[in-house]
Amino acid sequence: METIEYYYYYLATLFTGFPLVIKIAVVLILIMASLYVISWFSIGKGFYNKNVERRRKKSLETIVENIDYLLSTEDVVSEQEILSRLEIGNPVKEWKKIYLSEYLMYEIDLRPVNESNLATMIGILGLAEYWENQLESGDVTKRWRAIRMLDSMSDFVPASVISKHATLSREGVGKYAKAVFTKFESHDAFKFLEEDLGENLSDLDKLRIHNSLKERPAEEVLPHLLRTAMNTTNENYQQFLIKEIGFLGRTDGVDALIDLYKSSPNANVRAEIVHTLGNLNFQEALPVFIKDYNFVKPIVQDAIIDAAGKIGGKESLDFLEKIYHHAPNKETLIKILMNIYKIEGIGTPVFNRLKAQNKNGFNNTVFSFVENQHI
Amino acid sequence: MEIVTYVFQYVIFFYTFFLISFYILLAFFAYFNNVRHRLRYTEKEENILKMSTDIAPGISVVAPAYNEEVIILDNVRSFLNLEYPTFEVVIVNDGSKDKTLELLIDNFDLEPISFPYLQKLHCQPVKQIYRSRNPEFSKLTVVDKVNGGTKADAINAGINIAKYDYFINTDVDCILSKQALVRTMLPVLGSKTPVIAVGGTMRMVNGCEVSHGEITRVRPPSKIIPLFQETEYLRSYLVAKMGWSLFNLIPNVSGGFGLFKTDIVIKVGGYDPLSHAEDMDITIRMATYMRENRKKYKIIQVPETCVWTEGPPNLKVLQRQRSRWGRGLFQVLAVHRKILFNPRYGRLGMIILPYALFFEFFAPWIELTGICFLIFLLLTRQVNFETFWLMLILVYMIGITFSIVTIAFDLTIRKLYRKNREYLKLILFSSLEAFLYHPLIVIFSLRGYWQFLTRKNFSWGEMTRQGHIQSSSAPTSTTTT
Repeated sequence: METIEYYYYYLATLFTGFPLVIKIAVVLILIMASLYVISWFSIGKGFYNKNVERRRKKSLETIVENIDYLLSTEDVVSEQEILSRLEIGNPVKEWKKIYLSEYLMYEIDLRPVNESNLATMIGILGLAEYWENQLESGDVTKRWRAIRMLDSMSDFVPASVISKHATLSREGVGKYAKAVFTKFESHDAFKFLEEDLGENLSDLDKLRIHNSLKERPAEEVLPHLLRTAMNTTNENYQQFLIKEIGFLGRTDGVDALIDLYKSSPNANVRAEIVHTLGNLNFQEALPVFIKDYNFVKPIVQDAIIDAAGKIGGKESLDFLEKIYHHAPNKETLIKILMNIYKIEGIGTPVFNRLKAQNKNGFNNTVFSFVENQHI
Repeated sequence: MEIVTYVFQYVIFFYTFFLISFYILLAFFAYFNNVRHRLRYTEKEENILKMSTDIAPGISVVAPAYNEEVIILDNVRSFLNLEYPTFEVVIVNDGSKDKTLELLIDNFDLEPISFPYLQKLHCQPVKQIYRSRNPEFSKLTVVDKVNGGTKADAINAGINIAKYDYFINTDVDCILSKQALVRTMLPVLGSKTPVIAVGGTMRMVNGCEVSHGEITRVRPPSKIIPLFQETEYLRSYLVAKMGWSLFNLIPNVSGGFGLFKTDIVIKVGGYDPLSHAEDMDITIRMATYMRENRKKYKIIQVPETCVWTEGPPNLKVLQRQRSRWGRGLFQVLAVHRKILFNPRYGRLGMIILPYALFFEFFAPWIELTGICFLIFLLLTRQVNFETFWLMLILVYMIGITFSIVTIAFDLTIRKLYRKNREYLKLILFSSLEAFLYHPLIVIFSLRGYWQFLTRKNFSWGEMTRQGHIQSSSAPTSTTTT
């Protein structure tokens, strides 16, 4: 501090009596010169780090070859043999843990691997413990890196590793931890889904939860999704849950969504319910939607047209033919015709009849377009 | 006269002071934004999005083409090779006089289709729409239309065809990174506020090796003008736009590559064919629309390189490009003058446009008058050489400091050049920019202002294409008019 003060006063005396503009110019030059030097240092560090990375990668070439073998072979290799093959030393250096974790997780994403050997390797290298410790770090960069690694390793580490973090933290890493917890917890996987997961969700958070739900059996997930969708007051979260129900492909209990459709004042939620029940081919919902068609917002009307096309049958076809004659705009007209055309068996004759009535102009182009779309 | 001299010197000095202060602040903001971006979006998130075929939002890649026979095939292949779950490619042939359309038809096995074309945005008539018989190219749609004379007219036709909620506005002379769509979509998904536009970082393709529409080796350009442009572009994207992006203050999502929300673009009437800077104009109109309708919005910049474009290889083309930018800036400020200093438009009216007015539009004027004034002072022997050198160092340091900061940022994002000396080459040339390149930019910008004031007629897209350096063959060169 004294040295800084010394130089400050030294510089101040140098410029005593100079006009203000000179003092400002000198300060600006000093700031830019500092940035210049820092940038050179950063560039040099970048070059150095790349060289170190290259050298480290080279030094691990033999180990990586052995890892490739252990991941590709169908044989379950003993812990002793894996230890001798890896020749990695004990304790394993931190940079090796990071590099090998990244390599292993990359390979998991890329191809099917021998999971037994992989689990043994993760244990021997102490990767799960390492990333668990990193998750407790005060450095947010390390925490993000750790949760991503644990997500990739989720089949090989116990859910308890991240449950504490998922419980304590609500934002950022915590939300990610909750999604991962939902993926690999065995006892109470959906506790966050039903509690507070829906607060402030971004679409990326939804994508992560979606990927976690995909990993679990549909019959296990459905009741939780339904219960949460029926009870949450967060309409954004509700929409997401309803959409997820559609991906499960099961219809047990989804008639509850019809009640939700009738009671919800939100058009986006209603449209999502229509889409979901359409995707699930839930025929019981069709009369409700048809009855409502003229009284709902355009977004729900569009969803009803698509749902009718997916559910199919005579009732859908009659409905679509009826609204075809009163389509409010050309985009809706195209949508209706596409849905008529795709109703198996009975759709094509009606489509051809309507086509015969429109031999000229824009509508004729629409008919040709719809036919080409399905070739 | 003495008072004028005195006041003018102070005006110039404090203008420089505020400019440098803004740059320093932007550099710090950009640093934090870069770090934050890298923390949030990694390869892991990219992979999650790529695997989510069932819920990833669709993107239409719209690229107008006018006389692009030299590069059209490679670049369309680069579009079709993008890694993203749901996308389509819409190429708009804007009445090319060369073999652009024939090459597309022959090489992608295209046939005319019946398409219920709805003109949601105004543009010149569409003659025919083509799709491929080959399932390999099922994502490709080619629109053949009457030449509208501007990129805006062509892009509007593409938007009329586009079927997805988001579209990419790019040029057919651009080569997109395979991850470009994933990288621009991730911040859209990661934001809790609706994102209406995302810009990606753009670099020069001159000097890179290209094979079948893919960049196989990234190098700095070998020619001097694109080399200067490489640093200039990176400075604009990695420092200026990344800095502004932290506070939702991006004035312009580049016309070379940008992701836009389709319905908002349609609601504001699409691109303006009369605009000389259609990219800045649409960005401002979208932001204005959101402000006027009291809707929250975000415009984001991503630091990763998403696109490589062919930079002007010679002075003639550079002059044409920069004069157009100059005309465009003048026009945007004139057209949107009601927003300037209008508190009703929030940061758009009180920060974004005033900054563009003072530090972009006035900059060439001030630089020119500054030089003229200096010559006058030298001739009348009124220069104090002790302070002269200090001020010269100050001005020179602006360029070299922010160039090296940019290159340092670029290295932390991803090391794209294989050799360290290629970065050093960039640094070396950036130290010469103030003398060899920047004066030209000032002159060309002022020429653009003059052209705007004298209301001359202009056309777009006429550029001598050099072709790309193929990985295993010599570069080709053809002139298209």
